[in-house]
Amino acid sequence: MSEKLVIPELRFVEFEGDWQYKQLDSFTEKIQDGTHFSPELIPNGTRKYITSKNIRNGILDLSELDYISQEAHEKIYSRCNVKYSDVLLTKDGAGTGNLCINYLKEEFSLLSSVAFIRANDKVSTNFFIYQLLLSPEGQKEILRSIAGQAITRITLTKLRNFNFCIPKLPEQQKIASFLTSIDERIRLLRDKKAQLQQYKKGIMQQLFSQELRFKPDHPASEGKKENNYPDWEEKRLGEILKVGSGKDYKHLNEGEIPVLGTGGVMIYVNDFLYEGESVCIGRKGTIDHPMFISGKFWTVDTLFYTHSFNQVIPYFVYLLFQMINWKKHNEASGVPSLSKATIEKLTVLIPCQAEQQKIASFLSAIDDAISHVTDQITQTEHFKKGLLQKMFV
Amino acid sequence: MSEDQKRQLESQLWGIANLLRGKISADDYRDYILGFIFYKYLSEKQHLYANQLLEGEEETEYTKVKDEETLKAIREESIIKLGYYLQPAELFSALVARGQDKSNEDNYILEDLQAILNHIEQSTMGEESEEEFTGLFEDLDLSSTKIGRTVGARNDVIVEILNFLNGIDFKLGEVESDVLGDVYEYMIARFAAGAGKKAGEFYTPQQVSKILAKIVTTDKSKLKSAYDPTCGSGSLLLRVAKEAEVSEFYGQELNRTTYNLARMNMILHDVHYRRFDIQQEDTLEHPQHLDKRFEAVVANPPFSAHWKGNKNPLNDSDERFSQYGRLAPNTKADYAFLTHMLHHLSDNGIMASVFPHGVLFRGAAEGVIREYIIKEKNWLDAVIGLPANIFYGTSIPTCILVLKKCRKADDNIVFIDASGNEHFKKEGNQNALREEDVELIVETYRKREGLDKYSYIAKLEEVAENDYNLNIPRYVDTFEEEEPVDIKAVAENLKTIDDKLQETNQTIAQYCKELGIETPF
Repeated sequence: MSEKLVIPELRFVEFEGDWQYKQLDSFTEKIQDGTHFSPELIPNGTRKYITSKNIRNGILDLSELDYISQEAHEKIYSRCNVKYSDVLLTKDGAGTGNLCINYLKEEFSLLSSVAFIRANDKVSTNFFIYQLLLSPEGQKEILRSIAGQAITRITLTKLRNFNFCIPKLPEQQKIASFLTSIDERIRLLRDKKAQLQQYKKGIMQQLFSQELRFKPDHPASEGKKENNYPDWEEKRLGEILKVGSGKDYKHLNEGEIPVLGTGGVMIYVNDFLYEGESVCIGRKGTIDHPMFISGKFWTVDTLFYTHSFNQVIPYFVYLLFQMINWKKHNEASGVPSLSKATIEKLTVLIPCQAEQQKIASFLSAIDDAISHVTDQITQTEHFKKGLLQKMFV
Repeated sequence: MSEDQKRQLESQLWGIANLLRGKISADDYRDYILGFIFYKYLSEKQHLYANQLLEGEEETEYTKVKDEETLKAIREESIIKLGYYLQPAELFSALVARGQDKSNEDNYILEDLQAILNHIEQSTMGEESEEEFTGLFEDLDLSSTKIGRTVGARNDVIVEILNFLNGIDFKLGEVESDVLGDVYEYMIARFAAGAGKKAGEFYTPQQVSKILAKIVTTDKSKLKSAYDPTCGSGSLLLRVAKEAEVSEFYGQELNRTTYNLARMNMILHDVHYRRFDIQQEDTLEHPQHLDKRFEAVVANPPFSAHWKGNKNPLNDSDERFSQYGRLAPNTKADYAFLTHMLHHLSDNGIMASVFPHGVLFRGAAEGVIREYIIKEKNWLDAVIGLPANIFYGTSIPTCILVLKKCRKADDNIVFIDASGNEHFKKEGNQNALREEDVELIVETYRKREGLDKYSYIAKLEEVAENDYNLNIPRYVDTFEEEEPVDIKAVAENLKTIDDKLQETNQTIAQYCKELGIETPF
């Protein structure tokens, strides 16, 4: 019988020797789920009460939180004492298999739909177990153990019996810290994207309130005192553009031209309603989400498009539309609606075309930066996926 | 009688519905149950009154009176006082006893019951109360196959209902007159909650009725008259009576069943037959009180109902509609009802009515009528937007319009937006106004107060600037101002993030080098 080494495809060179098959409960100190007796939720309670809705893949999401009393917490915590850096795993319900690391240093209570896993620190680390469970091998074990159709679940027994091939502690630590640094990069990029979006919002607020103004590139010509763009002019939207109605597209055949709805591209067809740069705005439903489009396109009847721009740059209109509080002009309180007349009657302040151009270019550069970061996030996630495939067996 | 007892009576009575559920559909048994409760009420009232008359006589128990002369006297007195008359053998309890009598093979009571119900109506014939009692029981069709295929089956169902009711003590002698009326109301509401929508008719939730009632009684403790042109079961009129002393009630209702319910409801609330005048007819086509003006006008007319409009040539010259320049569209009678109500509103009166939101902003004919009411007449006093989904069976957003012919604050209109999430509570899949929500609406209206994100006092010029479009968001700003972004702080955050990214990238690069793979960043 030929000896075949059990080692991953990609391995740090300083480590040698086979990885060993082990059951999860043999290298962990504790695998436990939360309370099976739902405590009373207290809006101003002292202790956080974490349930599966807080566990998203890779993120402990605290945007919606429940609280319970200290007394109830103590009862729960005596059995289920989650600690900092433990791995949290959703074991019941819609998000079964979702995983994250607990970054909360305080004590909190857990509901039975979530389990925590704590490594035996003599032979393993939480961060390695976390990455292991994210790897294809970990995911296979999770998928295999999920029972139930309508309501999926993983039992603690099955979880404890997960079987993995793992290296010795130092190698685990190195793998974990490498993969963690990639997670860190993804987290930073997401942060960056959010901050850029904030930045864009702030810039738009200041540009449109004219707190910030661009100056013309060329110095003031003789006779003019100051080198400034002219004052913004008040105009009705109807004076600077025309609103076009969408149409039914169902009679069209498949093609390359996008059909836009209030939520974005719906389908591609072989004919177009309009060609050129345009800003679309919802007629019914989502009425406060303007979209910029150029080229040939079609819009459904719940989406208006704009055309025949008069002394305005379409991209500037797109920015302007983002600054309008559309819901205020809503003409129904069931499904929000706008009418052509309402849109064309709105008054807005418009700078001269040169200033519009500056504003448009600046903001489209920020938009580019945002989409660049979005790409980077996708790429890094991809890279991480590749590593997870190659660094485990 | 405490609230507890009232609730107990409610759940006892609602118990009958459970008894019949499954056997007969809810829409069908409603009329029977409400009819029989009413019969039991009339019967207990007769019994009490007769015993009162017999005080000091030889025989003081009505059911035991045999003497024809005495009975005749009681009959005469009853007709005057109660408006109707029931013989001892016709009393609810007597009938139930016959139904329970198993020894008697002939325990069929259907015919007896039918005869009694006819007698009640007939007893009023030629009397002053005749109009209030005619046809009152016509929906109680005891030969309908809906309640059973054979006579025997029908009899069983009826006996079951009557037995059940017989076990419930209405305590008429002991309690305030309104209690049973309120419980009756509760039953009507419960049935309404279960019923599907029919032609835009919706039972007005109590809290909405309360707002309307409080508004039309602003600064008043007594009203000469209250009128509801689409009165349904009459609950809105009775609600007004809870806020002020109302001398006379007027109503019109097209639907025969609810028209009957309205009259029963009035009588159950101890409103004497002389004090109410409720008619069954199409309000827009055949108004029944055309020459009358009322101090309070309330309504929840069918939402955007169809009407004849310009298809009826008479409407053009009808004084209720003609002055406004245009007729309401055939498919949306909202403004036809509104101007009908205005026609009936006395100069010192207040009118408050529920409408779908469309009346606030729809254009064409409705825009013309709206503009006329505001610009030429200056009758619009307030616009109140209610939360969506507070009516049973429809999620349509609604509003209340308040109109007055002689306005004190005549240079402005109050706009209230009570539709915000913090102004109602969720109850299952319905939204419901709480006591404090009702209070806030009424107080804000009465004080004409502009509250942040809730109400606004619009000058007439402002309404004119908006082309008489009353859409509430144009006046009441409920939008949260966006926090200004501190771009300097954000720029610094971005720099820090980039620094950290660089560090992380270096760490990653180091590991990649060790692994002998391409450094990706």
